[in-house]
Amino acid sequence: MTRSASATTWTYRRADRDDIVELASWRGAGSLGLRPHFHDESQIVVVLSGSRAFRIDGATVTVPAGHAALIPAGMLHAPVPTPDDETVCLNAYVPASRASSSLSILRIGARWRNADEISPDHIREIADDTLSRERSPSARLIDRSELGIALTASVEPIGAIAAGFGRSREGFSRMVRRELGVAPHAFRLLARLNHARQLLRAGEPIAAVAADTGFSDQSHLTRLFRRTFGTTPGVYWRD
Amino acid sequence: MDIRTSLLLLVAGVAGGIINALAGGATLITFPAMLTAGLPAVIANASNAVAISPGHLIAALADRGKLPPATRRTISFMAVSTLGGAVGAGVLLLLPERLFVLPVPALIAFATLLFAFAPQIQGWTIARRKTATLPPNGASSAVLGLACVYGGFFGAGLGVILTAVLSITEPNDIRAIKALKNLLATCVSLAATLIFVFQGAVRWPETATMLLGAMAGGYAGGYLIRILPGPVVRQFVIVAGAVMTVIYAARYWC
Repeated sequence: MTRSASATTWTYRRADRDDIVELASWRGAGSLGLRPHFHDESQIVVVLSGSRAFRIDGATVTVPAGHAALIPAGMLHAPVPTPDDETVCLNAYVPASRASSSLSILRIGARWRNADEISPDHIREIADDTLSRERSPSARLIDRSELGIALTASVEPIGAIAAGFGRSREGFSRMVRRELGVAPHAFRLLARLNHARQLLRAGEPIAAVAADTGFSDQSHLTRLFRRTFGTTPGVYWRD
Repeated sequence: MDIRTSLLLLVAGVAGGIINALAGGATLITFPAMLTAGLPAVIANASNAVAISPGHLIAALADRGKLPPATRRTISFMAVSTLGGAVGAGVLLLLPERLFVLPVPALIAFATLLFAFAPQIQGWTIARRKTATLPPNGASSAVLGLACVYGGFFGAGLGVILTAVLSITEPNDIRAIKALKNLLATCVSLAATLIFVFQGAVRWPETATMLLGAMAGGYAGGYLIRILPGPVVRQFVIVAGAVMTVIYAARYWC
């Protein structure tokens, strides 16, 4: 699938604060549908006009204008294209140090028209609001992170990791699919893409990032990065 | 909105239209459908209210021959209902999302109980009316106002409450009470709808889809009334309401 270079993409910027890793804004017709992915940070989606929609855990979640949603770190979500004429949206990625286990939605009203008007303090406020209702993480979440760590900590074949859990390769795949939402290989790929994103954010050149995170070349990374995060590593790196 | 979601809302709308035409209680089906479509609870509630509002209007118009004359009492009741509906809608929009989500299972359970015990409630109110004198105007209006605040806020079962309240306060026969009830419910629903629309609390793609279904269902209901007996539909609503109560209690409380 090729998309013209002029197609709208996400615009990223750093917040230069410890409590916000980065910001990404979108203005244009209904935003792109992207592949299912997760982030190492918690994602706050602030919708100022139009709407955003995600597939999460087999259900659609709509975030209408005037609402903010918190997608916890590690939660698999697939942005779905929306039919709105104009969608204005700001994503803020905040460190996942504070435990949160479930998606939450908050009404923010029509306080802002532009993504630029939202200050880091506002984002903090929204994050505090969404997190204050959090219950303590469930035991199941610990299972999940254990699985995720096992899959990403080593480059062992899936069969070997499955054996470590005392399961057949197929049984292990089913468990990963159930707990993490994607097959083991897909999960590993998403973890590598997140790692690549982190290295790019730190300013490492794209070719080096591609090599460090195990992509065959820069264009391979570029293709998957764009389908997953909605922008190219080049644009992301420059921003 | 994907095809599956559109289909869900359309089918729920048709079912809701039929249910409201035959027995009442569509919200117990249509509001969960709005939630399943992925809308936040407050928006789902407001959108649902708008999508099924034409039903009240059509019911009121259909029985307009039985509408009470425009006495001062009737007009003051309409004003109270409009105000109550507006207050209920305003409270809904002022409430933070998480404070609305918590009582949702209780609201669904409450409405389900209202439907389950509607015949008993009606029997009791009619029996009471024979013995007691009519309550004064002020007291009637206060009770009616409270009922209409609930109507603007959530709305499921408003018809049952209004019928009960009016059975006590009004000296008319049951058909006239039903007609007045439909008129007042229309006032509540119109006031709430206007507030929801102007406050931008309505998601139009979902609402329009359900509204289309609800109108088709309401129309079909007029024909189905001969083959689908009301009591069966009522039992279906009660069972559905009970199931929804359990589902949402598990989701929001556990």
